[in-house]
Amino acid sequence: MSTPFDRWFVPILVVAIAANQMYLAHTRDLSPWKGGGFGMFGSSDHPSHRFLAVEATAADGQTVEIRPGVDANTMRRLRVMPDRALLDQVAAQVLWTEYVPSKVGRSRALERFRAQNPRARLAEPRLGAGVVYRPLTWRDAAPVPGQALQLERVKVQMWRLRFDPKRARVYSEPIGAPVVLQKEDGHVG
Amino acid sequence: MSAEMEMPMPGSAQPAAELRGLLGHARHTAHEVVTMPRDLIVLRLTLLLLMLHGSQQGWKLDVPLRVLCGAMLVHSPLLTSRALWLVVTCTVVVMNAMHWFHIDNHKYLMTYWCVGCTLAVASGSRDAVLRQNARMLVGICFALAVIWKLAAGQFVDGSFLHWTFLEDGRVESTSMLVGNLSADQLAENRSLISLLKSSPGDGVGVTLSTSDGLRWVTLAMSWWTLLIETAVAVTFLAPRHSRIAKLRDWTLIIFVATTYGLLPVIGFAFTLCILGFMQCEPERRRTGLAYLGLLVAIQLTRIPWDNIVGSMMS
Repeated sequence: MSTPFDRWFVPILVVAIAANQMYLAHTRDLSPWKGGGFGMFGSSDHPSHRFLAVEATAADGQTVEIRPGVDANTMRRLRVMPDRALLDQVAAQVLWTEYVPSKVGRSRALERFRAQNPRARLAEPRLGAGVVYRPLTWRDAAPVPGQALQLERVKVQMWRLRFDPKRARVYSEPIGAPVVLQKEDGHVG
Repeated sequence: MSAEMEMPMPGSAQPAAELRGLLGHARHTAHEVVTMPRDLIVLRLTLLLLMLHGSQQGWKLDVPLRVLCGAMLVHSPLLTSRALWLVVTCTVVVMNAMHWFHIDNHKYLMTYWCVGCTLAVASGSRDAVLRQNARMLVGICFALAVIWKLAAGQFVDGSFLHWTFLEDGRVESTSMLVGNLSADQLAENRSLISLLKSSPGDGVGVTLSTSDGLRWVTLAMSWWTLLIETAVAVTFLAPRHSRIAKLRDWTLIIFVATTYGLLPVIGFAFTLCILGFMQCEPERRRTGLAYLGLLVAIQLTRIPWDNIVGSMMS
């Protein structure tokens, strides 16, 4: 003989977790695709459409383009539910990492992107030589002292992509406020 | 005609006889399956599901889970062990709870189903508990999916699927076929989006290559999806003996067949087929077999049809 608990525990559990997921999606930007609310294939706000933007300033005051080198698990968490404390942590990690130059390629898509967004700030014009910096790792030969790039200030922010169906246009939209961190006074804005 | 050709080849009747034998065997197996206690088949299928799609979250819990499920699968007395089902469920819960923020929804569904199986083997009425939980899980899962699709506001106007077909490499062939878009245009769409991710900003955006044909097709597909998902939710949540509930097997079978052929999420389809099979009335044997047939058929989506057809064409 089955009891009401046997029959109703699972359905109640599903509804409770889904209600929590809906709450988090509306209050803390949890992606509708995740968290057990069965919001998959219903919204374009998938974690892969969310990304971290980093604006970095070197010690000499120049703006530099960097690949932040945030570990995959942290990045995954940020994409699913951008959390202020986690963003602070990432900003500190990015600020205190040393960087070495990397290369960036060109493509037809890049030219088209520029044509469509002449005023957008792209990595290449800022860097002149088209250099993107990446974190210094143990695989790299030890850099000459003072050659590795050190940052003075970083601004990190999560963004997401949106789609305008009438014009088939994809655009970016910020998620929450940016975190600004500076070495001098350790200020977090 | 030469005498050599007129003479029957030795053993030529053998393949036909073997084929007949195989078909007879398949029919016999199908009969055996539908007459076996459904709860036992479902417990076995659930263990198989856990072995194949239970976890990709590291080896520490995954390996013991697979070994345990394998042992329960091959040794019948273990199949209904309360203690072992409790261990299996706790393992699945811990594995998924550790990664709750990024696992897919079908992992949640599998976890709920494991809880349901554990409650069933611990109760005095295994079949009834499994049947009730299977029906409710499908109904609630689809109701939530419909609520999200309506609430997100990108499904009713077709924009979600429109964008998906412009960007997602998994549906590229369909975009080319129904949208009359070239592979180059779709690759360029993906590159544009990738560039946009590297240079975000207010007012920064990219216009993707599309076509009116794709707009209309994705709008029609969106409405079809909403219709069939609503139908599944309503028929599964309706009282068991109501007239509308009689349609529930076919709504689910049609959903699985039309959805996962295009977007193969095999773990999800596998779970839905098990749940569908479990809640199916025992006297509807052919419907039960249809679920099992679908469970086999969805494995065919693993075949890279695009590459095969492409290489045959070229």
